[in-house]
Parts: sequence; structure tokens; C-alpha cells
Amino acid sequence: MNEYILEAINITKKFPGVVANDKVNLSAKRGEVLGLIGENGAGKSTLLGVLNGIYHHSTYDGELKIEGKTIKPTSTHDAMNLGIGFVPQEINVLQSLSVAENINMANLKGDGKVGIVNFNKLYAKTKKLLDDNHIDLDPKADVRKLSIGQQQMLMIARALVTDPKILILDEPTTSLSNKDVENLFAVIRELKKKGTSIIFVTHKLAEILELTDRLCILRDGKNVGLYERKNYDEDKIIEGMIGRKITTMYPKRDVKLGKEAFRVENLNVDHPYVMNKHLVKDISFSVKKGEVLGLAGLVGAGRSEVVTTLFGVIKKRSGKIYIDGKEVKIKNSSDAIKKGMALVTEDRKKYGLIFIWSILKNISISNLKSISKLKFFVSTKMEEHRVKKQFDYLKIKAQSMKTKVDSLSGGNQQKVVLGRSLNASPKVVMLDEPTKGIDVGSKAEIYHLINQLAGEGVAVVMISSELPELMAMCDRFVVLAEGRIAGEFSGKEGTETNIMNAAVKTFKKI
Amino acid sequence: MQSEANIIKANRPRRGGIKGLLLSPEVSILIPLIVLSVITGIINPKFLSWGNFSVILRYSTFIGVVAIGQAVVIMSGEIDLSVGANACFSGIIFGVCAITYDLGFIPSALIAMLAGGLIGFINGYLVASFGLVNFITTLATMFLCHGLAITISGGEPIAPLPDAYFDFALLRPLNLSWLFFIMLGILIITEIVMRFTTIGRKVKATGGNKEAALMGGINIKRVKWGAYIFSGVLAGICGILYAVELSAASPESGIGLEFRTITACAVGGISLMGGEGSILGVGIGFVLLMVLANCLQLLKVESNWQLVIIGAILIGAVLFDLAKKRVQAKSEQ
Repeated sequence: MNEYILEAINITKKFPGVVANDKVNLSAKRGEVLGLIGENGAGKSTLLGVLNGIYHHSTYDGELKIEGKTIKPTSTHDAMNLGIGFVPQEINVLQSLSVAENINMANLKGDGKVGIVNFNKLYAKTKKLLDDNHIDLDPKADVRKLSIGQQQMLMIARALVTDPKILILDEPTTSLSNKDVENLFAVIRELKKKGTSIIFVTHKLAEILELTDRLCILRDGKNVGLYERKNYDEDKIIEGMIGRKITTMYPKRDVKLGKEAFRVENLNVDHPYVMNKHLVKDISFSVKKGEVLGLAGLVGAGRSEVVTTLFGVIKKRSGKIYIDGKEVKIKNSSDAIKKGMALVTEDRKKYGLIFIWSILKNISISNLKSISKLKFFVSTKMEEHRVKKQFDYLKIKAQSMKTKVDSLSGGNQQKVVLGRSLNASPKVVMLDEPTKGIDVGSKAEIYHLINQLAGEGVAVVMISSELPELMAMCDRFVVLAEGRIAGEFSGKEGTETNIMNAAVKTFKKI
Repeated sequence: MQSEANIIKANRPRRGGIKGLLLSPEVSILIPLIVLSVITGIINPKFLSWGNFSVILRYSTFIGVVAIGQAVVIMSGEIDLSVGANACFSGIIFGVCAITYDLGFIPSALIAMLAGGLIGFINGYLVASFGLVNFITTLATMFLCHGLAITISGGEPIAPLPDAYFDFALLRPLNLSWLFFIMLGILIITEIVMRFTTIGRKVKATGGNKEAALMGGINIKRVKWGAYIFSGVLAGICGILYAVELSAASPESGIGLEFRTITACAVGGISLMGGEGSILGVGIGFVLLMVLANCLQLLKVESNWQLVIIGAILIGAVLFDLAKKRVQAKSEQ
């Protein structure tokens, strides 16, 4: 019997003007976890598209084999039938249906007669599938009520229903808490024991090191190599991905603090639907010019609510905001930008970009006055000139400024969002999870940019769920829990233990 | 990283030459217009005379004024179903002011425009500030307007308007009418505003992704209000022009105008998802619709079949738009 379940040999996939995969090889052994890593734009998504049948086999060169037999998938459905299960990065479950219905979507009728669903059988079948794979979900549960982690498990269960020989997981941990990640890993190990092979795509090096048996690194659409577990560590992976050694992931900077740039006093925000409940309670903090303040806390502690309220998107009940010592009234986002604030939100898709537009127009939108004559007539020349600055400053990788943003990688889209904020020449920049879901190389670039901004005297407020990142980047920390300040630490006091202890603090009900 | 050579090679202008011209939104609508005209002209040479064409343009005045407002609302990501009934309502207000109260043309017209704008204001208030669904809200104001128009007029046309108005409507510069030139003026100004100014950018940004526009510092409530009020005022103007043309304010005018204007926008290449499109395209769109109706009449197609054909053409326009986007996406990759 062939040692390899899945082999991809010399895959070459071209798009007009770009060779996305250049003779890429990948092979997965029975019952192993194969890591797949590479920067955004390295060709991972293309390779996954080839494996998972998104691209018709005639549109690329090379050979795919399952258990030694050549296959020619024509569609995702076809690939599924050939034994390739795929769990996409974004969670897409049907909210209004039950767990069992979601899992058996493709074959709801089962052996039911005249097309009527036999729910008892459906639930029993689903329960068996879930139990066999140690997935803790109730088949009858309403999907709407599941947590993000549970929904991720549901997606995996859905891929397992066809009993795949190989399961591809595309960044499954992006939106999961630590506990959910542990559960996920347990399920993966269980699958491995049963002989299912797993291809695990992630940006998180720690996960690669913990989980994988072998690792495939891609760069610029080519194989860097296929490594056995004993032959890679963190440095080796980073070097492989970006083709050079990053001496420091988090660049150092000389902290030069100026005057106070930004102060918030007693910010209170009511819950929009529940009476007498708050989202944010009595928050006060200040940031100096050139300082990076970390807003730490668990997901749901009110971090995002604080910054979106300050930006005028959520209505506050009370609280004062000072910029450069002067109190400012901010009723909406337009006021906030005019007063010198910028916000980069966590949800890049929803709040980030106008996807049918070019990079150029997306960036210029935040400061239309600066690109128009008489503050009214938009001048394309002024627009291109002004945006070019951001485009170069941020090193956005795109064919030109006129490229539509929907064709950019996640890291570059994030840079466009940043560019839009910086285009308004802000004094205070608030970043909500600025490196979520982007690759190591882009992360390092974003860190560099944050330092550069601080160096130019901008006050930065940064939110991140990745503690190492937050600890490395910030000069001071405010920890939130249950919408209140649970602790404040200087750079030295800001250890992982101190921050976590504060973050899990519970307040008495008021 | 992509290789430098790749980036430089791809840095050349995206589209150009004949293909680029054909893909430009206005030209791609102009082509079916020309083809349609030539075919009809061959079958019935009467069609291709300026005499016939000027009549078409003259009649396009009324759908035109309203379609411009509709286009701006659609570009901002919303829709306005109240425009037809609003035109009717404002026309009645104009008639009442000019005939019953004898206020003179300018005050009557201003009051009628104000009435139209007020309906737009209500739409904007409910949709932008309360977050009501645009479809239902404007459907409701549509009924409201129609009911008011019938109530105020007593269900009978208000006539006759002073002779001077009718004489004005009968003037034929270039065999067209001044009413047409008023519409053309509005079209050109709106096109300039939407294409070249910050207002146009803001409207399209709001339609493109309202959350992203919000984060970019655009007051999206104000934009939506503005779009609805603009559409309302233009519906008011349509009511006035139509009353002047007929020398009467009829409670039955404007029926179906909401859907015809939406059709004109779709045919004219405005994305119904919002965010893009040109007013010039809409202009060609509604002329195309009028030409089509004229062609079918000259070809002696039964009126029931005319509707079927217009429906088919609307589907064709949307499909064509989709195909065009695919080609564009390909040429950009």
C-alpha cells in the first residue's frame, strides 16, 4: 500500500500575469498532521483551491494522486467524493438550522421515503458521528446559540460526514479562544489516531510546533521545503517563510514620550438592549505623544466597545474626551476624524473596505478635503499624489494603486485600512486587533509601522488578544474586565501573570 | 513577495483601446441603443427622422427627472419606491397652488418642490435614522402620497392651468421643449456632482459599504437623507413639469414611474447594490426605454407583448452587466 494518502506533484497554476503555484509538491502520509505555512500571497490559497477542487483540473498543470491513483477533480463536490474534506477559514454555517441539519445538509433525506426527513434517524446518525470523533455538540442544538468555537467544531463535523481520507483545515483557530483551540487539537489528534490525514494551515507558529508531524513551507508560489518535525523550529520556519532571518520579530524603538495627547475621563456606555446594564463603566486613561498604550483583556471585556465609542460610532452615556489638552465633542465618526482620531477595526470585512473600489479611492475617502479644489471638486492628480505617499509608506503590494481591494491578500487589505486612517493625519491612532489573520511577514511590517507612528509623535492605543504581541509592542497597559478597568501596569509591571490576573477579575454586580 | 518585474509589467494602464472603450459603462449601453435604432430604422424608415426622435426625447423628460433622483438613491445603497406617487402628489399641490389659490408660477413651483422634498425627508428620516427597511418605508410613503393626491384633488384633474404655462410648454427650441432642457440641465449638473465632487464620492462610498464609509469619517445618515431629499425634490419637479405639459394636474399621473425609473437605472448600468454607476448612463438608459417603446409601437407590437419584451430586456441588461463585470475582473487579474 502506498505510504502517501495524498500527493500533489509539480502543481503549476497561473493567473494572468502571476504564477501563483510554480511546480509545487506536497504529500501527506496516512494518519499524520501536515502543516502548511507561508506568507500571504505565497500560494497557499491557490494550492488549497487545487486540492479542494475549486479549480477545474484542466486549469493547472501537474498531477494529483490519492493512494497512488491519479485523480482529476472537476469541482469541490467531486473532490469531496474522492475523499478530500475541506474546512474553509471563514465560518459559514446555517444559523437558522440545527446542528444535525447543518452537518447532513448534502443528504438530509437520508434513506427517508418520498423525500421526507426522518429527524429521529438524522439525530441518531449525527450523534454517532459526533461521538465517534469526540466532538461535544448536541445534534438538536440551535446553531444560532453556539459559540464561535462550537461553530468551528460544527464545520469540522460537516466535513467529516463524507468520511474523508484527508481533511484540510484552513486557519481553523483564527477566532477561537485558548480553550476552544485545545478542544480542536484533541479532536485532530483523535482523527489522526483513526488514520485520517490532516493538512493544517495556520499563521501561528506555536500551533505548528505543537501539532504537526511534518511541515511544508511555501514562498512566492514555490516550495521552500518539506521538513520532518525534528528539523524545524520557530527560527527555521520564519527564515523559510520570508527567505531571511528576522532577528527580532518585534522591532525595538527609542521611546520618546511627549505631552499628553489623548485623555478619556469616566467613559460610560449603556448596553443597547438591556436596561441598567453597561458595556463600559467608568473608564479613564491617558496616552502621551509617542506612547503605545495596550488595552488588554479577554474577548468581551469591552475593549472594542471602548474604542468604537471614542470614535463616535457607539453612543456614550457620559464621559469626556481630551485631545492635546482640549476637550472635544465627538458625535460621529466624521467628528472623530476631524479632531484627529483614527480607528482600525477588528472586522476588516464589514467595517474595513469598499471592496468594489480601488486602493486609491479607499484610502482617499477619509480626507476628501485634501484632494479637492474649493473643498468640492475632487482632483485625480491631487488624489494620486496624496495616496501615493501612503501607498509607498505602507509598502502595499499590489499591481498599482488602481487595483481593486478585493484581489489583495489579508495583510495588504489591512494596510489599505491603515492607509485610510493615516491619510487623515491623525494624532491618536486606535488599533483593534491590527494583526488578526495576517501572516508573520506582514505582522512584522505592521509592528514596524506602529513604532514608526509612535516615533513620529502619534499616540497609539492598541488592542490585541495575543499577549506576547501586546507585551512587546506597548509601553503601558490598561487591563479591562467586564467593561471596567481591572488593572493598570507600566511596561515593567506588565508581565503575563499580572495582566492575566487582572483580566480574569470579576466585579460585584451593581 | 512578487517579483519586481511582475509588478512593473502589471503597472501599465489596466484597460485601453477599443476593448476599454467598449467596457466603459456609457458606451456599452449606447451600443444596444444604436443597434435597436438601426434595426427599427430599416424596418420603418420613419423612425430615424429627427421629428420622431425629438418626440421621444421630449417624452423622456418626465421619466428622466425622476430617474436621476432614483439613480442617486440607488448609488447610496437604498431604493425609493415613492417617487411616482410623490410626483403625482407634488403635481397636485402645484395645481392647487396655481389654480385654486392663484399664487403664481414661482411660489407654486417652490411649494410643490418643498412638498416633494418633504416626502424625501420623511423617507430619509425613517430609513437613515430609524434604520427601517427602505423597501417597506418607501412603499408606505408611496401609498401615503397617492392617497393624499386623490384626497386633495377629489379624484379629478385640476385644470386648466394658466395659458402662459401651456404656451411655454409648446415652445419648440430645436424641435424639443424647454421642459426637456430643464431635465437635461439637471442631468448634467447631477452627473458633474456625482462624478467630480466630494459629494459624489461620499454617496458612492456609502452605497459601496456603509460601515467602511462610516469608519472613513463619512456621515452616512446625512448622505442618505440627502439622497432621499434630492430624489423627493426631483419627483416634485417632475410633477410640476408634467402638469405644465398637460396644462392640468392629474391624480393619475406618475403611476408605475417608480419601477420604470428603477428599470432605467438597471439598464443604465447602475449597480443595484449601490456604490457605482453614472448619471449619464441612466440618461442613455431611460432614452433607451423610450426608444424601445416607440420601436415596438412603430413595429405594431401589441401593448401586452410590449411589457413582456421590456421585462425580457431588463433581464438581459442585468445579465449583460454581470458578464461585463466578469470580463473586467478577468482583464484585471
